[in-house]
Amino acid sequence: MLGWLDTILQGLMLGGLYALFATGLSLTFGVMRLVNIAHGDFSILAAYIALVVVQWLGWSPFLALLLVVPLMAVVGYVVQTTLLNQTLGPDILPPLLVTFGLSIVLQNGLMEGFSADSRGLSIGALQTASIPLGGGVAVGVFPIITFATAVIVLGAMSWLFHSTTLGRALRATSDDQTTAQLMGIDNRHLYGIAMAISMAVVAIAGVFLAIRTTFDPSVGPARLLYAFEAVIIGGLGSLWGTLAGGMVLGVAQTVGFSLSPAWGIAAGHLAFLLVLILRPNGLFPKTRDA
Amino acid sequence: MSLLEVENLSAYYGDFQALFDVSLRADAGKVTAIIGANGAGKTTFMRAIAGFQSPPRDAIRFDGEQIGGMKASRVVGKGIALVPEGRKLFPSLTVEENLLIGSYCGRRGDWNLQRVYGLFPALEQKRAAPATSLSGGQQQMVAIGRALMSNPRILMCDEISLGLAPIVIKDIYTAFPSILAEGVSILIVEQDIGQALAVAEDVYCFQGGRISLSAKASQLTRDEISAAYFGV
Repeated sequence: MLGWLDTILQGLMLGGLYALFATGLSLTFGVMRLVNIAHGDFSILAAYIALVVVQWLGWSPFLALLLVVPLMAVVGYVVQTTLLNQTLGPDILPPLLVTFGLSIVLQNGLMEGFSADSRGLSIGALQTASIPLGGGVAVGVFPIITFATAVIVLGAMSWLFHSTTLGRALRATSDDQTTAQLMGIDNRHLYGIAMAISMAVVAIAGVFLAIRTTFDPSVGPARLLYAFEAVIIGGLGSLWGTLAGGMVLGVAQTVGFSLSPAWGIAAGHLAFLLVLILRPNGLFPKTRDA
Repeated sequence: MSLLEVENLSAYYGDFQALFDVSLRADAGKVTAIIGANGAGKTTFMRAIAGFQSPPRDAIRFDGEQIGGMKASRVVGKGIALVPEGRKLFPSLTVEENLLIGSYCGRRGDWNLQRVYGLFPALEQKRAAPATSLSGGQQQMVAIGRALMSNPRILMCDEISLGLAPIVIKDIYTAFPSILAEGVSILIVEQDIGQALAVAEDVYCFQGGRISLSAKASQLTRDEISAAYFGV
Protein backbone atom coordinates (compact mmCIF):
# COMPACT_ATOMS: atom_id res chain seq x y z
CA MET A 1 0.00 0.00 0.00
CA LEU A 2 2.72 2.44 0.97
CA GLY A 3 4.67 1.38 -2.09
CA TRP A 4 1.77 2.61 -4.19
CA LEU A 5 1.63 5.88 -2.34
CA ASP A 6 5.31 6.33 -3.05
CA THR A 7 4.83 5.58 -6.74
CA ILE A 8 1.94 8.01 -7.08
CA LEU A 9 3.90 10.71 -5.26
CA GLN A 10 6.80 10.26 -7.69
CA GLY A 11 4.37 10.50 -10.59
CA LEU A 12 2.83 13.71 -9.31
CA MET A 13 6.28 15.29 -8.97
CA LEU A 14 7.21 14.10 -12.47
CA GLY A 15 4.09 15.92 -13.64
CA GLY A 16 5.79 19.18 -12.75
CA LEU A 17 8.55 18.44 -15.25
CA TYR A 18 6.04 17.56 -17.96
CA ALA A 19 4.16 20.78 -17.27
CA LEU A 20 7.39 22.72 -17.82
CA PHE A 21 7.75 21.00 -21.20
CA ALA A 22 4.14 21.57 -22.14
CA THR A 23 3.56 25.19 -21.15
CA GLY A 24 5.58 26.77 -23.93
CA LEU A 25 4.05 24.48 -26.52
CA SER A 26 0.59 25.50 -25.38
CA LEU A 27 1.56 29.19 -25.35
CA THR A 28 2.83 29.35 -28.93
CA PHE A 29 -0.14 27.41 -30.18
CA GLY A 30 -2.51 29.67 -28.28
CA VAL A 31 -0.99 32.95 -29.37
CA MET A 32 -0.04 32.27 -32.99
CA ARG A 33 -1.51 28.84 -33.84
CA LEU A 34 2.00 27.57 -34.29
CA VAL A 35 2.66 23.93 -33.44
CA ASN A 36 6.36 23.82 -32.74
CA ILE A 37 7.48 20.32 -33.71
CA ALA A 38 11.03 21.26 -32.65
CA HIS A 39 9.88 22.13 -29.12
CA GLY A 40 11.40 19.02 -27.56
CA ASP A 41 14.63 19.42 -29.52
CA PHE A 42 15.01 22.99 -28.30
CA SER A 43 14.82 21.67 -24.74
CA ILE A 44 17.66 19.27 -25.55
CA LEU A 45 19.62 22.13 -27.15
CA ALA A 46 19.22 23.98 -23.85
CA ALA A 47 20.48 20.90 -21.99
CA TYR A 48 23.61 20.80 -24.17
CA ILE A 49 24.23 24.52 -23.70
CA ALA A 50 23.95 23.93 -19.94
CA LEU A 51 26.40 21.04 -20.29
CA VAL A 52 28.91 23.31 -21.99
CA VAL A 53 28.47 25.99 -19.32
CA VAL A 54 28.88 23.41 -16.55
CA GLN A 55 32.01 21.92 -18.12
CA TRP A 56 33.72 25.18 -19.07
CA LEU A 57 32.84 27.38 -16.16
CA GLY A 58 32.46 24.66 -13.57
CA TRP A 59 29.09 26.05 -12.53
CA SER A 60 26.31 24.05 -10.96
CA PRO A 61 23.50 23.25 -13.44
CA PHE A 62 21.14 25.46 -11.42
CA LEU A 63 23.52 28.39 -11.79
CA ALA A 64 23.86 27.60 -15.49
CA LEU A 65 20.12 28.27 -15.84
CA LEU A 66 20.90 31.95 -15.32
CA LEU A 67 22.75 31.88 -18.63
CA VAL A 68 20.80 29.24 -20.53
CA VAL A 69 17.31 30.63 -19.94
CA PRO A 70 17.98 34.16 -21.27
CA LEU A 71 20.05 32.74 -24.12
CA MET A 72 17.24 30.41 -25.20
CA ALA A 73 14.77 33.30 -24.94
CA VAL A 74 16.90 35.28 -27.38
CA VAL A 75 17.17 32.25 -29.67
CA GLY A 76 13.39 31.93 -29.54
CA TYR A 77 12.82 35.59 -30.41
CA VAL A 78 15.28 35.50 -33.31
CA VAL A 79 14.02 32.19 -34.73
CA GLN A 80 10.44 33.45 -34.55
CA THR A 81 10.97 36.90 -36.05
CA THR A 82 13.43 35.92 -38.77
CA LEU A 83 12.13 32.48 -39.74
CA LEU A 84 8.83 31.31 -38.31
CA ASN A 85 6.91 34.57 -38.83
CA GLN A 86 7.42 34.06 -42.56
CA THR A 87 5.57 30.75 -42.38
CA LEU A 88 2.47 32.01 -40.56
CA GLY A 89 -0.69 32.55 -42.53
CA PRO A 90 -4.11 31.10 -43.07
CA ASP A 91 -2.53 27.70 -43.74
CA ILE A 92 -1.39 25.83 -40.60
CA LEU A 93 0.87 23.45 -42.56
CA PRO A 94 3.94 25.63 -43.41
CA PRO A 95 4.95 26.30 -39.77
CA LEU A 96 4.45 22.60 -39.06
CA LEU A 97 6.82 21.65 -41.88
CA VAL A 98 9.42 24.28 -41.06
CA THR A 99 9.57 23.38 -37.37
CA PHE A 100 9.73 19.72 -38.37
CA GLY A 101 12.75 20.68 -40.47
CA LEU A 102 14.20 22.60 -37.52
CA SER A 103 13.80 19.49 -35.41
CA ILE A 104 15.89 17.47 -37.86
CA VAL A 105 18.49 20.22 -38.12
CA LEU A 106 18.78 20.47 -34.33
CA GLN A 107 19.07 16.73 -33.79
CA ASN A 108 21.74 16.32 -36.46
CA GLY A 109 23.57 19.47 -35.46
CA LEU A 110 23.77 18.26 -31.85
CA MET A 111 24.83 14.82 -33.09
CA GLU A 112 27.68 16.44 -35.07
CA GLY A 113 28.75 18.62 -32.18
CA PHE A 114 28.34 16.28 -29.23
CA SER A 115 28.12 12.75 -30.73
CA ALA A 116 25.35 10.31 -29.85
CA ASP A 117 26.79 9.53 -26.40
CA SER A 118 24.44 9.86 -23.47
CA ARG A 119 25.20 12.78 -21.22
CA GLY A 120 23.92 13.98 -17.91
CA LEU A 121 24.15 16.95 -15.59
CA SER A 122 25.06 16.34 -11.97
CA ILE A 123 23.95 18.31 -8.94
CA GLY A 124 26.01 16.18 -6.55
CA ALA A 125 24.49 14.89 -3.35
CA LEU A 126 21.26 16.75 -4.02
CA GLN A 127 20.62 14.31 -6.84
CA THR A 128 19.83 11.45 -4.50
CA ALA A 129 18.84 13.31 -1.36
CA SER A 130 15.34 12.63 -0.11
CA ILE A 131 13.06 13.62 2.70
CA PRO A 132 11.43 10.75 4.58
CA LEU A 133 7.73 11.28 5.11
CA GLY A 134 7.50 8.42 7.56
CA GLY A 135 6.24 4.89 7.12
CA GLY A 136 8.84 4.10 4.50
CA VAL A 137 7.61 6.76 2.08
CA ALA A 138 10.21 9.29 0.99
CA VAL A 139 10.22 12.02 -1.58
CA GLY A 140 13.33 13.11 -3.44
CA VAL A 141 14.61 16.63 -2.96
CA PHE A 142 15.21 17.16 -6.66
CA PRO A 143 11.68 16.09 -7.67
CA ILE A 144 10.39 18.56 -5.09
CA ILE A 145 12.56 21.30 -6.58
CA THR A 146 11.27 20.40 -10.05
CA PHE A 147 7.66 20.48 -8.97
CA ALA A 148 8.09 23.72 -7.03
CA THR A 149 9.76 25.29 -10.06
CA ALA A 150 6.83 24.25 -12.24
CA VAL A 151 4.37 25.80 -9.79
CA ILE A 152 6.41 29.01 -9.63
CA VAL A 153 6.77 29.22 -13.41
CA LEU A 154 3.06 28.58 -13.99
CA GLY A 155 2.17 31.09 -11.28
CA ALA A 156 4.42 33.67 -12.92
CA MET A 157 2.87 33.01 -16.31
CA SER A 158 -0.61 33.24 -14.87
CA TRP A 159 0.31 36.60 -13.36
CA LEU A 160 1.86 37.72 -16.64
CA PHE A 161 -1.27 36.81 -18.60
CA HIS A 162 -3.82 38.32 -16.28
CA SER A 163 -2.13 41.27 -14.64
CA THR A 164 0.19 42.85 -17.19
CA THR A 165 -0.23 44.83 -20.38
CA LEU A 166 1.91 42.30 -22.24
CA GLY A 167 -0.34 39.48 -21.03
CA ARG A 168 -3.45 41.32 -22.18
CA ALA A 169 -1.83 41.86 -25.56
CA LEU A 170 -0.96 38.16 -25.79
CA ARG A 171 -4.52 37.14 -24.95
CA ALA A 172 -6.00 39.68 -27.36
CA THR A 173 -3.71 38.47 -30.14
CA SER A 174 -4.66 34.90 -29.35
CA ASP A 175 -8.33 35.85 -29.73
CA ASP A 176 -8.04 37.87 -32.94
CA GLN A 177 -4.70 38.96 -34.33
CA THR A 178 -6.22 41.28 -36.96
CA THR A 179 -8.18 43.32 -34.45
CA ALA A 180 -5.18 43.25 -32.10
CA GLN A 181 -3.24 45.18 -34.74
CA LEU A 182 -5.92 47.87 -34.60
CA MET A 183 -4.93 48.33 -30.95
CA GLY A 184 -1.37 49.08 -32.00
CA ILE A 185 -0.10 45.59 -31.24
CA ASP A 186 2.70 44.62 -33.62
CA ASN A 187 1.76 40.98 -33.91
CA ARG A 188 5.10 39.88 -35.39
CA HIS A 189 7.04 41.32 -32.47
CA LEU A 190 4.54 39.83 -30.05
CA TYR A 191 4.97 36.39 -31.65
CA GLY A 192 8.69 36.79 -31.03
CA ILE A 193 8.02 37.52 -27.37
CA ALA A 194 5.71 34.52 -27.08
CA MET A 195 8.36 32.24 -28.58
CA ALA A 196 10.98 33.77 -26.28
CA ILE A 197 8.85 32.91 -23.24
CA SER A 198 8.18 29.45 -24.62
CA MET A 199 11.91 28.82 -25.13
CA ALA A 200 12.83 30.21 -21.71
CA VAL A 201 10.44 27.80 -20.00
CA VAL A 202 11.42 24.80 -22.10
CA ALA A 203 15.08 25.59 -21.36
CA ILE A 204 14.34 25.06 -17.66
CA ALA A 205 12.57 21.82 -18.58
CA GLY A 206 15.54 20.65 -20.65
CA VAL A 207 18.07 21.33 -17.92
CA PHE A 208 15.91 19.64 -15.27
CA LEU A 209 15.47 16.65 -17.57
CA ALA A 210 19.24 16.48 -18.00
CA ILE A 211 19.67 16.44 -14.21
CA ARG A 212 16.95 13.85 -13.71
CA THR A 213 18.11 11.41 -16.36
CA THR A 214 20.60 11.04 -19.20
CA PHE A 215 20.03 12.62 -22.56
CA ASP A 216 21.34 12.44 -26.11
CA PRO A 217 20.48 14.36 -29.30
CA SER A 218 17.64 12.03 -30.25
CA VAL A 219 15.42 12.29 -27.16
CA GLY A 220 13.67 15.55 -28.08
CA PRO A 221 10.71 14.13 -30.03
CA ALA A 222 9.62 11.92 -27.12
CA ARG A 223 9.57 15.06 -24.94
CA LEU A 224 7.40 16.77 -27.53
CA LEU A 225 4.98 13.85 -27.40
CA TYR A 226 4.67 14.01 -23.59
CA ALA A 227 4.23 17.76 -23.80
CA PHE A 228 1.39 17.34 -26.31
CA GLU A 229 -0.24 14.75 -24.11
CA ALA A 230 0.00 16.93 -21.01
CA VAL A 231 -1.56 19.86 -22.87
CA ILE A 232 -4.41 17.79 -24.30
CA ILE A 233 -5.14 15.97 -21.03
CA GLY A 234 -5.20 19.25 -19.14
CA GLY A 235 -7.29 21.09 -21.70
CA LEU A 236 -5.97 23.43 -24.35
CA GLY A 237 -5.32 26.96 -23.16
CA SER A 238 -5.45 26.23 -19.44
CA LEU A 239 -2.18 26.85 -17.58
CA TRP A 240 -3.04 24.96 -14.43
CA GLY A 241 -4.79 22.33 -16.50
CA THR A 242 -1.42 21.69 -18.12
CA LEU A 243 0.06 20.98 -14.69
CA ALA A 244 -2.82 18.60 -13.96
CA GLY A 245 -2.29 17.00 -17.35
CA GLY A 246 1.40 16.55 -16.60
CA MET A 247 0.54 14.98 -13.25
CA VAL A 248 -1.94 12.54 -14.79
CA LEU A 249 0.67 11.56 -17.34
CA GLY A 250 3.39 11.32 -14.68
CA VAL A 251 1.31 9.12 -12.38
CA ALA A 252 0.24 6.87 -15.25
CA GLN A 253 3.87 6.42 -16.31
CA THR A 254 5.27 5.71 -12.85
CA VAL A 255 2.44 3.34 -12.00
CA GLY A 256 3.02 1.61 -15.34
CA PHE A 257 6.75 1.38 -14.63
CA SER A 258 6.16 -0.12 -11.21
CA LEU A 259 4.02 -2.86 -12.80
CA SER A 260 6.57 -3.62 -15.46
CA PRO A 261 9.39 -1.47 -16.87
CA ALA A 262 8.09 -2.15 -20.35
CA TRP A 263 4.71 -0.66 -19.46
CA GLY A 264 5.73 2.76 -18.24
CA ILE A 265 5.56 4.77 -21.44
CA ALA A 266 2.62 2.79 -22.77
CA ALA A 267 0.62 3.42 -19.59
CA GLY A 268 1.11 7.15 -20.13
CA HIS A 269 -0.19 6.89 -23.68
CA LEU A 270 -3.14 4.78 -22.51
CA ALA A 271 -4.07 7.39 -19.92
CA PHE A 272 -3.89 10.00 -22.66
CA LEU A 273 -6.14 7.98 -24.97
CA LEU A 274 -8.55 7.36 -22.12
CA VAL A 275 -8.89 11.08 -21.46
CA LEU A 276 -9.27 11.71 -25.17
CA ILE A 277 -12.17 9.24 -25.29
CA LEU A 278 -13.89 10.30 -22.07
CA ARG A 279 -13.19 14.05 -22.12
CA PRO A 280 -12.03 15.07 -25.60
CA ASN A 281 -11.67 18.69 -24.48
CA GLY A 282 -9.38 17.76 -21.60
CA LEU A 283 -9.91 17.97 -17.87
CA PHE A 284 -10.04 21.76 -17.60
CA PRO A 285 -11.01 23.06 -21.02
CA LYS A 286 -10.86 26.81 -21.40
CA THR A 287 -14.11 27.41 -23.18
CA ARG A 288 -15.00 30.83 -24.39
CA ASP A 289 -17.92 32.20 -26.31
CA ALA A 290 -16.97 33.76 -29.58
CA MET B 1 -6.34 71.33 -45.37
CA SER B 2 -8.58 68.55 -44.15
CA LEU B 3 -7.61 66.25 -41.30
CA LEU B 4 -7.89 63.14 -43.46
CA GLU B 5 -7.30 63.38 -47.19
CA VAL B 6 -7.63 60.34 -49.39
CA GLU B 7 -6.46 60.76 -52.97
CA ASN B 8 -7.13 58.22 -55.74
CA LEU B 9 -7.13 55.23 -53.42
CA SER B 10 -7.47 51.81 -55.00
CA ALA B 11 -7.80 48.71 -52.86
CA TYR B 12 -8.21 45.02 -53.32
CA TYR B 13 -10.15 42.27 -51.63
CA GLY B 14 -8.07 39.28 -52.57
CA ASP B 15 -7.78 39.39 -56.34
CA PHE B 16 -10.90 41.46 -56.63
CA GLN B 17 -10.53 45.21 -56.94
CA ALA B 18 -12.87 46.74 -54.37
CA LEU B 19 -12.00 50.44 -54.69
CA PHE B 20 -11.24 52.46 -57.81
CA ASP B 21 -9.45 55.81 -57.37
CA VAL B 22 -11.51 56.92 -54.42
CA SER B 23 -10.89 60.44 -53.12
CA LEU B 24 -12.40 61.67 -49.87
CA ARG B 25 -11.83 64.38 -47.30
CA ALA B 26 -12.85 64.34 -43.67
CA ASP B 27 -12.59 67.64 -41.84
CA ALA B 28 -11.57 68.11 -38.25
CA GLY B 29 -14.36 68.57 -35.75
CA LYS B 30 -17.04 67.11 -38.00
CA VAL B 31 -18.93 63.92 -38.63
CA THR B 32 -18.43 62.59 -42.14
CA ALA B 33 -20.63 59.73 -43.31
CA ILE B 34 -20.12 57.09 -45.96
CA ILE B 35 -23.25 55.40 -47.23
CA GLY B 36 -23.79 52.81 -49.90
CA ALA B 37 -25.12 49.35 -50.58
CA ASN B 38 -23.50 46.09 -49.49
CA GLY B 39 -20.31 45.42 -51.41
CA ALA B 40 -19.85 49.06 -52.40
CA GLY B 41 -16.39 49.09 -50.81
CA LYS B 42 -17.14 51.02 -47.61
CA THR B 43 -15.55 48.56 -45.22
CA THR B 44 -12.56 48.03 -47.51
CA PHE B 45 -12.10 51.79 -47.59
CA MET B 46 -12.00 52.05 -43.80
CA ARG B 47 -9.70 49.07 -43.46
CA ALA B 48 -7.38 50.59 -46.05
CA ILE B 49 -7.10 53.75 -43.98
CA ALA B 50 -6.56 51.66 -40.83
CA GLY B 51 -3.52 50.06 -42.46
CA PHE B 52 -4.73 46.73 -43.84
CA GLN B 53 -3.89 47.56 -47.46
CA SER B 54 -0.70 48.70 -49.10
CA PRO B 55 -1.60 51.74 -51.17
CA PRO B 56 1.07 54.24 -52.29
CA ARG B 57 2.27 56.51 -49.49
CA ASP B 58 0.64 59.62 -50.89
CA ALA B 59 -2.79 58.01 -51.33
CA ILE B 60 -3.66 58.70 -47.68
CA ARG B 61 -2.64 61.89 -45.89
CA PHE B 62 -3.45 62.42 -42.23
CA ASP B 63 -2.84 65.86 -40.82
CA GLY B 64 -0.48 66.46 -43.74
CA GLU B 65 1.55 63.29 -43.16
CA GLN B 66 1.60 60.61 -45.84
CA ILE B 67 0.50 57.38 -44.20
CA GLY B 68 -0.49 55.17 -47.15
CA GLY B 69 0.87 51.65 -46.68
CA MET B 70 1.74 52.19 -43.02
CA LYS B 71 1.24 49.08 -40.87
CA ALA B 72 -2.05 48.92 -38.96
CA SER B 73 -0.22 48.64 -35.64
CA ARG B 74 1.44 52.01 -36.33
CA VAL B 75 -1.55 53.83 -37.83
CA VAL B 76 -3.44 53.81 -34.53
CA GLY B 77 -0.52 55.57 -32.89
CA LYS B 78 -0.99 58.43 -35.38
CA GLY B 79 -4.48 59.03 -34.02
CA ILE B 80 -6.71 56.99 -36.31
CA ALA B 81 -8.92 54.50 -34.49
CA LEU B 82 -11.26 52.03 -36.16
CA VAL B 83 -14.35 50.53 -34.56
CA PRO B 84 -14.52 47.47 -36.79
CA GLU B 85 -17.69 46.06 -38.27
CA GLY B 86 -19.12 43.39 -35.98
CA ARG B 87 -17.40 45.01 -32.96
CA LYS B 88 -14.66 42.38 -32.78
CA LEU B 89 -14.28 42.49 -29.01
CA PHE B 90 -11.69 40.16 -27.49
CA PRO B 91 -13.74 37.30 -26.01
CA SER B 92 -11.18 36.21 -23.43
CA LEU B 93 -10.86 39.72 -22.03
CA THR B 94 -13.24 41.40 -19.62
CA VAL B 95 -15.01 44.63 -20.49
CA GLU B 96 -12.39 46.65 -18.65
CA GLU B 97 -9.51 44.71 -20.20
CA ASN B 98 -10.99 45.34 -23.64
CA LEU B 99 -11.00 49.04 -22.86
CA LEU B 100 -7.47 48.95 -21.44
CA ILE B 101 -6.06 47.16 -24.47
CA GLY B 102 -7.36 50.12 -26.47
CA SER B 103 -4.68 52.26 -24.86
CA TYR B 104 -1.90 49.82 -25.81
CA CYS B 105 -0.54 52.10 -28.53
CA GLY B 106 0.50 54.54 -25.81
CA ARG B 107 -0.84 57.66 -27.50
CA ARG B 108 -1.20 60.45 -24.99
CA GLY B 109 -4.48 62.18 -24.41
CA ASP B 110 -7.42 62.75 -22.12
CA TRP B 111 -9.34 59.51 -22.56
CA ASN B 112 -9.23 57.03 -19.71
CA LEU B 113 -11.50 54.42 -18.13
CA GLN B 114 -13.40 57.01 -16.09
CA ARG B 115 -14.24 59.08 -19.14
CA VAL B 116 -15.41 56.09 -21.12
CA TYR B 117 -17.60 55.00 -18.19
CA GLY B 118 -18.86 58.56 -18.03
CA LEU B 119 -19.79 58.38 -21.70
CA PHE B 120 -21.37 54.92 -21.42
CA PRO B 121 -22.51 54.52 -17.77
CA ALA B 122 -24.02 51.10 -18.51
CA LEU B 123 -20.52 49.65 -18.86
CA GLU B 124 -19.26 50.48 -15.41
CA GLN B 125 -21.27 47.80 -13.56
CA LYS B 126 -20.23 45.25 -16.17
CA ARG B 127 -16.54 46.07 -16.04
CA ALA B 128 -15.48 42.63 -14.78
CA ALA B 129 -17.79 40.65 -17.08
CA PRO B 130 -16.49 38.89 -20.18
CA ALA B 131 -16.98 41.39 -23.00
CA THR B 132 -18.96 39.00 -25.15
CA SER B 133 -21.50 38.35 -22.39
CA LEU B 134 -22.95 41.83 -22.86
CA SER B 135 -25.91 42.79 -25.01
CA GLY B 136 -25.21 43.85 -28.58
CA GLY B 137 -25.63 47.53 -27.81
CA GLN B 138 -23.36 47.38 -24.79
CA GLN B 139 -20.77 45.48 -26.80
CA GLN B 140 -20.88 48.27 -29.35
CA MET B 141 -20.28 50.76 -26.55
CA VAL B 142 -17.23 48.75 -25.46
CA ALA B 143 -15.95 48.75 -29.04
CA ILE B 144 -16.32 52.53 -29.30
CA GLY B 145 -14.81 53.04 -25.84
CA ARG B 146 -11.90 50.76 -26.74
CA ALA B 147 -11.20 52.88 -29.82
CA LEU B 148 -11.45 56.10 -27.81
CA MET B 149 -8.91 54.77 -25.30
CA SER B 150 -6.26 55.18 -28.00
CA ASN B 151 -6.89 58.94 -27.87
CA PRO B 152 -7.71 59.22 -31.56
CA ARG B 153 -8.00 62.40 -33.56
CA ILE B 154 -10.40 60.64 -35.86
CA LEU B 155 -12.76 57.84 -34.88
CA MET B 156 -13.85 55.58 -37.72
CA CYS B 157 -17.06 53.65 -36.99
CA ASP B 158 -17.95 50.82 -39.35
CA GLU B 159 -21.67 49.95 -39.26
CA ILE B 160 -22.15 50.56 -35.57
CA SER B 161 -25.92 50.31 -35.80
CA LEU B 162 -25.97 46.99 -37.62
CA GLY B 163 -28.21 44.46 -35.91
CA LEU B 164 -29.17 46.74 -33.02
CA ALA B 165 -32.62 47.85 -31.90
CA PRO B 166 -33.53 51.44 -32.87
CA ILE B 167 -33.63 52.58 -29.24
CA VAL B 168 -30.14 51.17 -28.66
CA ILE B 169 -28.85 52.87 -31.80
CA LYS B 170 -30.20 56.14 -30.45
CA ASP B 171 -28.33 55.57 -27.18
CA ILE B 172 -25.08 55.07 -29.04
CA TYR B 173 -25.45 58.08 -31.32
CA THR B 174 -26.29 60.18 -28.28
CA ALA B 175 -22.63 59.86 -27.35
CA PHE B 176 -21.46 61.52 -30.58
CA PRO B 177 -21.77 65.18 -29.49
CA SER B 178 -19.68 64.43 -26.36
CA ILE B 179 -17.04 62.70 -28.47
CA LEU B 180 -16.91 65.61 -30.91
CA ALA B 181 -16.68 68.00 -27.99
CA GLU B 182 -13.50 66.23 -26.92
CA GLY B 183 -12.00 67.26 -30.25
CA VAL B 184 -12.38 63.87 -31.91
CA SER B 185 -13.52 63.90 -35.53
CA ILE B 186 -15.75 61.07 -36.68
CA LEU B 187 -16.01 59.12 -39.91
CA ILE B 188 -18.91 56.68 -40.05
CA VAL B 189 -20.02 53.99 -42.42
CA GLU B 190 -23.75 53.67 -42.03
CA GLN B 191 -26.40 51.68 -43.87
CA ASP B 192 -29.22 53.61 -42.26
CA ILE B 193 -29.31 56.66 -44.51
CA GLY B 194 -31.67 58.59 -42.25
CA GLN B 195 -29.24 58.12 -39.37
CA ALA B 196 -26.27 59.12 -41.52
CA LEU B 197 -27.94 62.32 -42.73
CA ALA B 198 -29.02 63.18 -39.20
CA VAL B 199 -25.54 63.08 -37.66
CA ALA B 200 -23.18 63.94 -40.51
CA GLU B 201 -22.28 67.22 -42.15
CA ASP B 202 -20.64 65.70 -45.20
CA VAL B 203 -21.89 62.59 -46.93
CA TYR B 204 -20.19 60.36 -49.48
CA CYS B 205 -22.05 57.64 -51.30
CA PHE B 206 -20.08 54.63 -52.52
CA GLN B 207 -21.27 52.53 -55.39
CA GLY B 208 -19.35 49.67 -56.98
CA GLY B 209 -16.05 50.82 -55.48
CA ARG B 210 -16.39 54.41 -56.66
CA ILE B 211 -17.80 57.53 -55.14
CA SER B 212 -21.12 58.22 -56.79
CA LEU B 213 -22.04 61.27 -54.75
CA SER B 214 -20.49 63.68 -52.29
CA ALA B 215 -22.32 66.58 -50.76
CA LYS B 216 -23.36 68.43 -47.63
CA ALA B 217 -25.97 66.34 -45.83
CA SER B 218 -28.29 69.33 -45.58
CA GLN B 219 -28.39 69.82 -49.33
CA LEU B 220 -29.20 66.27 -50.36
CA THR B 221 -32.56 65.13 -51.63
CA ARG B 222 -33.93 61.59 -51.41
CA ASP B 223 -33.90 61.29 -55.19
CA GLU B 224 -30.23 62.22 -55.45
CA ILE B 225 -29.38 59.64 -52.81
CA SER B 226 -31.44 56.92 -54.46
CA ALA B 227 -29.73 57.59 -57.76
CA ALA B 228 -26.27 57.48 -56.21
CA TYR B 229 -27.09 54.48 -54.03
CA PHE B 230 -28.47 52.20 -56.67
CA GLY B 231 -26.80 53.71 -59.70
CA VAL B 232 -30.08 54.16 -61.53
